[in-house]
Amino acid sequence: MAESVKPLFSVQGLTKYYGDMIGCRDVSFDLWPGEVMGIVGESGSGKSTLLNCISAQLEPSEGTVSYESGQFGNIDVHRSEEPIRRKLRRTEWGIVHQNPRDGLRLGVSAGANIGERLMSIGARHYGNIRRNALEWLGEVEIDASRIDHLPKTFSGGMQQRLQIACNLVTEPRLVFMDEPTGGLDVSVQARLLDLLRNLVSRLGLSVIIVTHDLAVARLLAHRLMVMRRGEVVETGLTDQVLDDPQHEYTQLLVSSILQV
Amino acid sequence: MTVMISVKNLDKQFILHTQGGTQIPVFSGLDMKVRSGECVALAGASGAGKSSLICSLYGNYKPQSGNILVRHEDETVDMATALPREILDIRKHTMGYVSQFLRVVPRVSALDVVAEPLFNLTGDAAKARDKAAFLLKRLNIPGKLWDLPPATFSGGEQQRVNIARGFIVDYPILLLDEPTASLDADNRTVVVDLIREAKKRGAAVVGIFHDLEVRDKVADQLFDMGRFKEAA
Repeated sequence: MAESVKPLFSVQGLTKYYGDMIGCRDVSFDLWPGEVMGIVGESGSGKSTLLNCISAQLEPSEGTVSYESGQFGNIDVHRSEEPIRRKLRRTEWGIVHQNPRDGLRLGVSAGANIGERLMSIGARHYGNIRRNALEWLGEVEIDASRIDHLPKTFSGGMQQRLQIACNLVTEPRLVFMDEPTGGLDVSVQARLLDLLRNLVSRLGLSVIIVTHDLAVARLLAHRLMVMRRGEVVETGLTDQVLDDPQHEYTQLLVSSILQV
Repeated sequence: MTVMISVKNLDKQFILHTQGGTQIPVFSGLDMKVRSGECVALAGASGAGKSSLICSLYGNYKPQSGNILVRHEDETVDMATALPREILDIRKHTMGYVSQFLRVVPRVSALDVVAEPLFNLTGDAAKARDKAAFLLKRLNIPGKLWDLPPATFSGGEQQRVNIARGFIVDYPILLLDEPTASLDADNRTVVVDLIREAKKRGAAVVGIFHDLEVRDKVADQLFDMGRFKEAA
């Protein structure tokens, strides 16, 4: 394998306390270009805390996060200026929230939601922005006729697809996803998963995805990190972790899946 | 011929933490070599660890100790210690695996299920679909099923889709876990031909064949798992 390739994203000794409570403790990993890593574990295991810290939405108590930026070179995420972080979040990074309402503005049209991200990085030509918005609505299987509708008139699944379009329109290299299929019914979830799987492989995205659903993890992630009580208890190739779990907690998680 | 797989002193056991730490030994001190153009058939009773060995070779199971040295693009990589992205690279270019059961993905058609590994390797969707269609036809999957997701297919049809998927890339190494288990005589013959063709182009094959007739037609060597079971 070509070893000249560098990790895109590197986390070292990341710890977050909430007062005396541990959010997550001493988490380290490297993410390589094109890699999809799943973070799994039950509610309260520290998955979302970790995701919020590494995506610079939350300040960690200890540890460093470095990112190989296309525009800024290698940067120490938490020690860089807020304008740089803001720029990253709008361009090279995408953040898909579990609740699409956290990532969308429900009071402006679908097209404007997509256009806003483009305008925030300097796009001004109305025709180009609209064409881009239409193209991305198509990518996420939303009918072009809905472009001027408000997202609050969309179903939950459509809102989630719109949120994904809003993130991908600036062609990010790294996307953080927090339970992107949570709260959707299974047929809607299957469609979203299929869409995500195709987009991620076609665009060669690097993704860090938090999920408590091991079936989602198996479908999307190349490798997994299993968390319990704020700590990483097991890591490895996705199918190895799920088919031959080594740690007591992972074995419990895997054996708790209901068979249909 | 080139040694493609060299297993050294491999130990595998399962420790069931949710069952009070019960230890289930699978095999111990296992050594094996597989050369290109050769088919090694794993032999031994049910529970002898045949599937566990195949899963370990594929990086799907994690052995306790030992090495699984695999020839990957003029380098030697140890599957027992390789990083996830290295294992995925080996699976993409070097090692194919036909499992007993197809893992179906919602909304993906049979044709695309089969084409996917070749598409991922070359990026050429049209050629990958062409070859997928060729293999599905060869394995007697009716054309009207190609555009449907295989979730609703019969067991035998799903297995043939799985075989087509495993053979679409000319992998230098092929792992086959009972590829003919639920097939009729005609389709067994097709699979025997596919395996022979793979050997002819130099593939190293490790397989489990409960059908002795199939085994005799493709295997060059029998590998007895029993002695490593006793050691474990």
